[in-house]
Amino acid sequence: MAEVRIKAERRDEAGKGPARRARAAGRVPAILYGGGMDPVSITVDRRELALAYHTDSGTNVLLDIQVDGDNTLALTKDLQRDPVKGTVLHADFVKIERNVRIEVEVPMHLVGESPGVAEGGVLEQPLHALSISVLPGDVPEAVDVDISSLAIGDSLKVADIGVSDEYEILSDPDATVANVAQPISEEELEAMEAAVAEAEPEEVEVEAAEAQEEAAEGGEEMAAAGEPAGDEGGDEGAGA
Amino acid sequence: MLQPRKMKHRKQQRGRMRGRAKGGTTVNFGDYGLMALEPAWITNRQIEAARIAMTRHIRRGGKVWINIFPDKPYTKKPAETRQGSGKGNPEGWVAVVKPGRVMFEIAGVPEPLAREAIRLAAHKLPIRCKFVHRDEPIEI
Repeated sequence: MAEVRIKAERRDEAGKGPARRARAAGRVPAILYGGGMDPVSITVDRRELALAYHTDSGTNVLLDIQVDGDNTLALTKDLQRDPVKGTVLHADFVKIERNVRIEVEVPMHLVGESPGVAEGGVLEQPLHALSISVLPGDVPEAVDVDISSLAIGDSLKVADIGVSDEYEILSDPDATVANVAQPISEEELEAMEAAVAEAEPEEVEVEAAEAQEEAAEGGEEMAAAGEPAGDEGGDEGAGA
Repeated sequence: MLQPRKMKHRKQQRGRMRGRAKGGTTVNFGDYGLMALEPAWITNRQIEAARIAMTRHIRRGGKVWINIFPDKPYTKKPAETRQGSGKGNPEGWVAVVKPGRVMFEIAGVPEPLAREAIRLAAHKLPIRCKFVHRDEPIEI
């Protein structure tokens, strides 16, 4: 597993104002905690942090965070990202020890050619990440799952993934990792391609009490519309 | 077409669409998605048109998810009506979408096919959108 050293500065001010100023200056507000230490608010260089996540380990990369000359081994616990730009807004780092097992989520890659897919089946992957307990130095970049035995209608569960000496799987053993579904028939395809008829908004049921209230209001509106209102006033109350 | 089965109140206030999407900002079910870049009311007809465009393009392979639901009724006054006399009649349904929201997801097809299907779907919507992956890389 990749290990990257990043320099951090202690952050004394909290709140959105200082956080926004830090972001404007090209830094990412972050917090470092865990392992019995007091939480430390820090900032790290935005570019340095983004580059750290561009290793093959992705966000599971081990970070050697240097704060005021002290080095702390940490793992990214959480990342807050801008939903549109994808930039990091805030990071949570949790302190870890090299000889203590950690829980991480690693991506699962489907490998091999499934005979079911060759026959026209649709490969579905409901689970994309596997939760494992592992020593920090042994975290795999990804877990390969062989799908070469999957025919149409077959599924592969977490329990079917090969056991490894390095890590222990924590995900639910009954959870489905991948399955090959029956391809949809021509009739089903036609039904899916056809537009579905729309019901009028008026036809949707209004919950009982409200319906009565509305009916009473509707009656009043009708009465109001019935009063002389100049030209074309009659149209207004027609649909009320 | 998507619409609620029942509702508590026939009419709703319009509200404002400030800020960005709070949730549903990542691809969760499929491999690729269509993200909104602007706030908008997306009608159930637009959602349906986008769904049909995607389904027609990917044919029998793959799967499509719709992550938004039009649960807000909008009203309209009849044509050539003077102002006043209360709120108009319910006319249709919309989903309130804010920037960053992943509206549709697709899986089980190669990326070029997914890109084209999503491009066609985006043309059915009234806003600028972008194609997103499951694991969007962090911007440097």
